[in-house]
Amino acid sequence: MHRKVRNKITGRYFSLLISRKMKLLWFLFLLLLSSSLFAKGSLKGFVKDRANGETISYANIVIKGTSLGDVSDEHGYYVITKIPPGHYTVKAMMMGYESGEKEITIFGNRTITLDFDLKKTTIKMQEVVKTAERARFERQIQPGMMQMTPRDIRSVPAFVEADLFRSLQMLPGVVTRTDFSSALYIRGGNPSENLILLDDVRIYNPYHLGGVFSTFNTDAIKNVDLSVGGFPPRYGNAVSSVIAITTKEGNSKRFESRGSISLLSSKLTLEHPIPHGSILLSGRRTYFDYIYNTAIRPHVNGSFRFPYYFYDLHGKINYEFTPNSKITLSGFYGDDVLHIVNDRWGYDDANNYRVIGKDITDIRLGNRSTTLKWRYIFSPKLFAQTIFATSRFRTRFDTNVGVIDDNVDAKDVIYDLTLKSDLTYFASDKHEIKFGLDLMRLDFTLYFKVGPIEWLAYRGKKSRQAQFYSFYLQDDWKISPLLNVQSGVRFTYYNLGKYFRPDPRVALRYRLQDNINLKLSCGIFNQFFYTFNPEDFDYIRLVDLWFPIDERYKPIRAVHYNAGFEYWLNDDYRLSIEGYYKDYDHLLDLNEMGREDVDIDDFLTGWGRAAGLEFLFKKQQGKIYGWLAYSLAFVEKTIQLARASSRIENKNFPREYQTFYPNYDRRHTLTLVAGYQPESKWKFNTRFTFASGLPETPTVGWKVYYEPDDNGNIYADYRPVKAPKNSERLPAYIRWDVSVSRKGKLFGLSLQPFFQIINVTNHHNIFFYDYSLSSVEWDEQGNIIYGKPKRQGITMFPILPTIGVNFKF
Amino acid sequence: MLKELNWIALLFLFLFGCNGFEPKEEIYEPNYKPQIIVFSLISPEKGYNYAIVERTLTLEEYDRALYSGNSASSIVKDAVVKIIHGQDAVQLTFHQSQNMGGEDYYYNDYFSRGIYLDKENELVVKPGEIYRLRVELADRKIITGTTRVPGRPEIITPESYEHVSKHHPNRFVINWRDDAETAAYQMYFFLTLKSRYYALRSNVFENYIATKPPVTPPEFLTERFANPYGSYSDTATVKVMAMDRNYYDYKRSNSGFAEMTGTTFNLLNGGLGVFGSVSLDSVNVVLE
Repeated sequence: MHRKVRNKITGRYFSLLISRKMKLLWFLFLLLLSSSLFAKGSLKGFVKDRANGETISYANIVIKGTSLGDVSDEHGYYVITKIPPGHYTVKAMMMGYESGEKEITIFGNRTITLDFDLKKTTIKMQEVVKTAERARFERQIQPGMMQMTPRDIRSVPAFVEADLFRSLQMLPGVVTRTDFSSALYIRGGNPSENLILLDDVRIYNPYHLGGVFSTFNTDAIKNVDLSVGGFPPRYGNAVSSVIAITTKEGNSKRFESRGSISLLSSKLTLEHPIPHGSILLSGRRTYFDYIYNTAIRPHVNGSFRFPYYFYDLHGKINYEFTPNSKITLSGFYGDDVLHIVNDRWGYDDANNYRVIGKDITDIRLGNRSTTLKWRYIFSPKLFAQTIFATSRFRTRFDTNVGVIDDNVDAKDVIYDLTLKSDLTYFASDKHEIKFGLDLMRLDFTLYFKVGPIEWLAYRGKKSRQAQFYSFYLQDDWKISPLLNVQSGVRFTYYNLGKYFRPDPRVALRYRLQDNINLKLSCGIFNQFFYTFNPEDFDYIRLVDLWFPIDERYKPIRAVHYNAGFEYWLNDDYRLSIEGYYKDYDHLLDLNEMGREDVDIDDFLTGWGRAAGLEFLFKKQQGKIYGWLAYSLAFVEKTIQLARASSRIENKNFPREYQTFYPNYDRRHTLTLVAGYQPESKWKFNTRFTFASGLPETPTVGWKVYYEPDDNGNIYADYRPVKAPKNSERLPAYIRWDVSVSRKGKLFGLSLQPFFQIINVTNHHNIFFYDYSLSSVEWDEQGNIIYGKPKRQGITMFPILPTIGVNFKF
Repeated sequence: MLKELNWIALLFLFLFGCNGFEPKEEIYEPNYKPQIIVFSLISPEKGYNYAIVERTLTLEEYDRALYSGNSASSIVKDAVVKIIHGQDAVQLTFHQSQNMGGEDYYYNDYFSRGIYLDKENELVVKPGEIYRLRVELADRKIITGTTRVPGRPEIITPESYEHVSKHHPNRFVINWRDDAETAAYQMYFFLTLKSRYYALRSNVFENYIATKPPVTPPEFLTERFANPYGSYSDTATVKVMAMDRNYYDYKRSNSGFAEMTGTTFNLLNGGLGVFGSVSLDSVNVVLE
């Protein structure tokens, strides 16, 4: 009985217990299920090119059957959050690539990493795939942003070989002064005001051959982002524009090489996979010195050796520790070398006239930078990139000509040590927060020594150190599907002068229709270092002579106001209209009457303004592609009148100012870049530029200059009288270039020989006028004939055919 | 394709044929109207206190002025030139020398062209005082300028007839009384180079300008003393010329970068030119 009873009781108790446990389990199960049902997962990953492992920016990633999706950023990274549990098909699309599809199951709030390797295709896809441009149209908020791909760069026929800056100058808002200088004047700013970044590291002198070519090897470039105004808080220490150049990472799938031989230089780029990464090595060197000195010189009389060459070398190693952690070590080295050796003739001890030594002129200038970059994905929502970089720009000018008074020793060096960290926090589907630190230490050295006289640029010292501490915060806020606002601020503390500058910036995008964007932006920009380059002599920008703005002057400040209208006619044609107004303050210009030994006289200060309207019509795809751009621009500066004696500043001697158009104020610029690539192997490209004349200051008369000696006796001399500064204009600039190339194979080598003609119409584009102000001649009897003064235009490039070949193996 | 290339080649030849390689010279006749330009300098020292009133030249006039020897054609002879100090005004009178040529031609050219002088030595110029220039032209146009005469740069070291080493000239320091409102100081260190045939006075400082004292003679002075073509005198003269802001600006606008740009700096009201002032002091030293 007891047993039965006990069993019964036990059974009841057990069943009760079971049922209680079951309820609990059921409750837990339901809780888990409900949490699983209501929790939302995330998807993250990179979109890459299957052939070489390079990340693809602005690719579209969509989850089929939902409205969820993202566009990959400049790192090729995407994140999709708040995905309800379920089984999905995720699709990645990019124009020029086959779409990739993958199946995923989202369960709970897990994050799934899903990378896509897209395969390039030449077959036109049936489905509608957005181009990178179109994807950027949907992603970017600020106006004034343009991207240039290697294809765009190669579309522009250039002098001798493709050049990045020569291609950028075909975009609206970008002006160059001459064929001999690739320095870029962007929306009323001069080249000192551009922030030029190579893989996030600032490059201080981006030129070769005295500015004729830019220093960047186009074979190593992945893409270039140009912001002509209103750029986000991530970028600082520039008041005009940002040119951000991203180089290739290197093929992580297979060995690849490419190169080219032109009349100027040879280029070779090698890419190779390594375990968990890739390596890239790209180099360029001019070779005319080798050809002349080894092949030609032995056959001609004379001791002349061709004295000039330049080279650049770019290397990069990527190593991926984990999918979330990647390290990149890169280096960039480039130099221009001019080494002239001449025999020095003179009398020896025995009074014989003979070679008694060597006169040597040695000029070297170049950039060197080494960068260690660490990309780390802390969580799907937090993406970080930290950079430690050293960069050095150096110009060295040495002559040894025997006579002590004529020997020159000049040096201009910037040593840059940078540590910066950029973080992106994908807070929600409405907020993307970017923030970061930027710490820089710059050591400037600049001095000239001519004979015994030494000029020290930095207040009687050879060098000066400047430190910058910046912090920025930026929020991209999607207020509604139609309205996005990007707002942020950049704080900078600068040790020289102890300046603290907050730079607030805001941009707004309103989607009027699915294919029309209206954009507005405004912001404050400060720049803390500048160049000594005098504007009046800036015909050729041989070298940028940088100096840190110190307590004598205020940092250069600009306020940008931009408005843009972007309209996609269909998925291929884009029309963009942008207007801008810029207010400059604390501008600096070299005091032409300044004294080498008086530091207070170095610069004249003033203010300026720039305004303009720009049109861009672009066709991206198809057999015919290219763009048509027109810019209307006004630039005006008001600068203190040159004074030698700014030591005295009292009420009797108030500062005087003059207002003028700077010598890069080009009123109208019309450019056309077009490519035609039929199904065949042929490719035709052309570019055309019409640009109204630049300001100049001609000589209009003569005056007498008097100089008394210590007794009051006067020495008199005639000096030219100039017209008011930049009051005249040179004739319009017109240039038409064409190029043709053909793909072929030779011994298994892919070859693409090209032939191009610069300035097809041989238009006489005036560089400057050479004035023959005295035209007196004598007849056979010795009588004076008074003629008329004359001038002759010194022209830039005449018609120039060039050839070369690109190869790949 | 070959046919198309032929057409392209023909087009290039046509375009090429339409253009020369270099643009031709063209007659250049800017629309420039000459302006009145004045050079006037005053000083407490003798030999100054003058004004030259003339006009600038067109490009064509320049040739004729230079090659026909008629450089006086641009001089304005009928202006009324006054230098005013407080309530006192001294009128300068026009003077044109008839002596042309000769050894002194180079230095006296301005006399032959025509100059306004204080012939009666009426003008008393005092350091630190403000003076005004008033030029009235025949057409009633008035040009004015103001200068503050710099303080006398009284030389403190070296003292008069102090002994200075020839072999280590950079060991002595030239120091003088600084005037805070003086723009700059022109430095002179006169030596006389003597040989059997000539004695030549030269300023080893050349165009050296100091903005404040003291100054040490340049290092290359040692080289100058080791001159193989003769020997230097046993005495030398140290001289300091204080310049006001106007004259210094005028001087700087005609040297260095500024000379290359050729900008005419207007330091007067109503016309071009300069009204400036200088003050001087000097001592002799003994070289040993």
